[in-house]
Amino acid sequence: MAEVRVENIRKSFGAGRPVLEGVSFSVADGEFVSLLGPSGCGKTTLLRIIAGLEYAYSGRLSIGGREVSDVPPKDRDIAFVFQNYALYPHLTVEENVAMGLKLRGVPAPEIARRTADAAARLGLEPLLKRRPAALSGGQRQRVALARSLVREPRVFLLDEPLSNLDAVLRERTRGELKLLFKRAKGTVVYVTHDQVEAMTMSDRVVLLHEGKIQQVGTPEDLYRRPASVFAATFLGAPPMNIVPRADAERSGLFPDLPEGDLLVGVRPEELKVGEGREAAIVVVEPVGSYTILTLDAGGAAPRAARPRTRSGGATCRVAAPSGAMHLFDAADGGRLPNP
Amino acid sequence: MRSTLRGRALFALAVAAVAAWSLAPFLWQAITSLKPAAEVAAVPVRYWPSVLDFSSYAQVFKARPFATYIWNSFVVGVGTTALTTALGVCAAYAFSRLGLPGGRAALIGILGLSLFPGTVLIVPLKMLATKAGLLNTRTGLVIAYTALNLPFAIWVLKAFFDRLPRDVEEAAWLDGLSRWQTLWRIVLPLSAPAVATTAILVFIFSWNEFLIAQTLVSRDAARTVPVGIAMLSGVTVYEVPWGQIAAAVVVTTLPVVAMVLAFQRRIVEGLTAGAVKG
Ligand SMILES: Nc1ncnc2c1ncn2[C@@H]1O[C@H](COP(=O)(O)OP(=O)(O)O)[C@@H](O)[C@H]1O
Ligand SMILES: [Mg+2]
Repeated sequence: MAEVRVENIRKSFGAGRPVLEGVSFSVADGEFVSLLGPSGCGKTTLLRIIAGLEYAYSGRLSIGGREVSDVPPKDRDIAFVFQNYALYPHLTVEENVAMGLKLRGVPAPEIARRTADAAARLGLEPLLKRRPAALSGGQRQRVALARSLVREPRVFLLDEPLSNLDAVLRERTRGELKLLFKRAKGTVVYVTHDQVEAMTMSDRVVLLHEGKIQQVGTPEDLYRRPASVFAATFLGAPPMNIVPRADAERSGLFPDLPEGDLLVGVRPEELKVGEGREAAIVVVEPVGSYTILTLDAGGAAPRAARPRTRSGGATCRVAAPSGAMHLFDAADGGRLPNP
Repeated sequence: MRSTLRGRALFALAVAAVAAWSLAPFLWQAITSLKPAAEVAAVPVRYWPSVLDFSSYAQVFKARPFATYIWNSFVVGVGTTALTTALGVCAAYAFSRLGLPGGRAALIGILGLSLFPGTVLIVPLKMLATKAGLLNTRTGLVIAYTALNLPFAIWVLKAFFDRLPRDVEEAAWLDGLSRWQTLWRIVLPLSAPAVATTAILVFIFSWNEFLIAQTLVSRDAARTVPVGIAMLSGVTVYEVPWGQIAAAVVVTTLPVVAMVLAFQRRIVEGLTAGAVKG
């Protein structure tokens, strides 16, 4: 049992704007939760508070039902994977991985067994005698993961572990990581600014913006029912089209708009191309599996994504199915119920 | 190929010129120490001795207990170096990492103290040493030298610690290392080049120091080499025993050179191991 509960955590550095403004969420035992948000929104700070590397200004934090605010990092039964890995440069891969076990007085044969096991799981066997300087970025990242796995902690905390890898390697490692942590059966808190990582890997996503939680839910929830304009535009590529009510009305794509100061949103992939009103095609961006069209539809300039087809023509027809529409309050960006 | 050959030749020439320039005084001393007494101050200058005469060396050890002086210098040097490095590492690490309140002010204060001219300190040092019963002891010298060198050591080491990545240390705490263990097993191995450099410079300072050694020590039992050399004198006041002085300089410089070279290897090793970062 290692549930993580974060209650009303506040934090500021010096006199500036608070970095975390009362953050609360919980992670169930064995659950994989991503902390997602743009750079500088406080993700790393939050993760470091959970690890005990940083103090919260106020709030409560428990791991496995035990209040840990006053427990030193090493006794919280967590492992932390740093964004730039933080390997010991003067020790070999094997010594890097085994350090935590040695210090906890694990008997030597067991250290050897567990180190070998972690190395095998991450394909590090041929590298055990090397030092970090002699490793590639991807290999260092795997050493950092092995160092966390070998401890068999109850909670894994990972800070953007894939952000230093190139795109191809990142893509491949994503799936491997998901499998790895599923097998390790630990609770995982995974920090990332990459919505694709958060969507593909997590059971649930905690979306952060400027130190406040915007939305908590499954990737499906966040995609289907974004709680705010921020959530709507942060998740999904290309991002959701958002236009003020007046422009939406003029475009004629959305009949029967309710009254009020509204923002109207629709995802590019949910716009129907080939039926509805005529619109000029302004830009065509073929991505491969689909093509992004930027259209001129009266007041609005929506982008539409459609399956790869023969391109051509200066205009096309476009329609917004009524179920695809999202409404937000123009004042605070919050979600409004559909009519 | 030709151009690189020429470049290398020029480079070698330049190195030779600099080496000759820096080593000339020492070579002159070495040659002087091997001249028969009559040729040392001969006019016109005799550059190369007619015979190699080692008697100056014998005389040095006869005239003064130089073996004792060398031993004293060595003990004081090693003691000062060990104490300064140990205290410097701890203080620098605290200044660098613990976020002590008033830390910056303390650092600037330390720097200010180290700008005091040494001569101003001589009289108070002597009075302190007298009160503490440390006159004519090597311990007294070690304490005085450590005090004088600590500001330098703290500043150099702190600058180095500041640039070590913090997350490596945080990883160490998460692995279960205490502060002390982190300092000993992670920070120090990564700082070997800086620590070794500091240690060498402190040792050289201590080995060469004259003024304080002259003031605090007036007995052979604790006298160090620089003072011993200054005390070599001829039969009359007007006679300076250049041959003996030269021999003493050679005898007391070679051990330091050997030691620094030995350390140097460690520094180079440390520097290459440091390339591990990133
Ligand atoms: N040690 C620190 N001192 C002062 N400000 C900090 C410190 N650490 C982080 N911050 C600030 O807190 C905010 C959030 O930082 P961080 O948690 O690293 O964001 P993220 O990981 O989401 O990119 C940033 O504005 C950053 O400048
Ligand atoms: Mg971060």
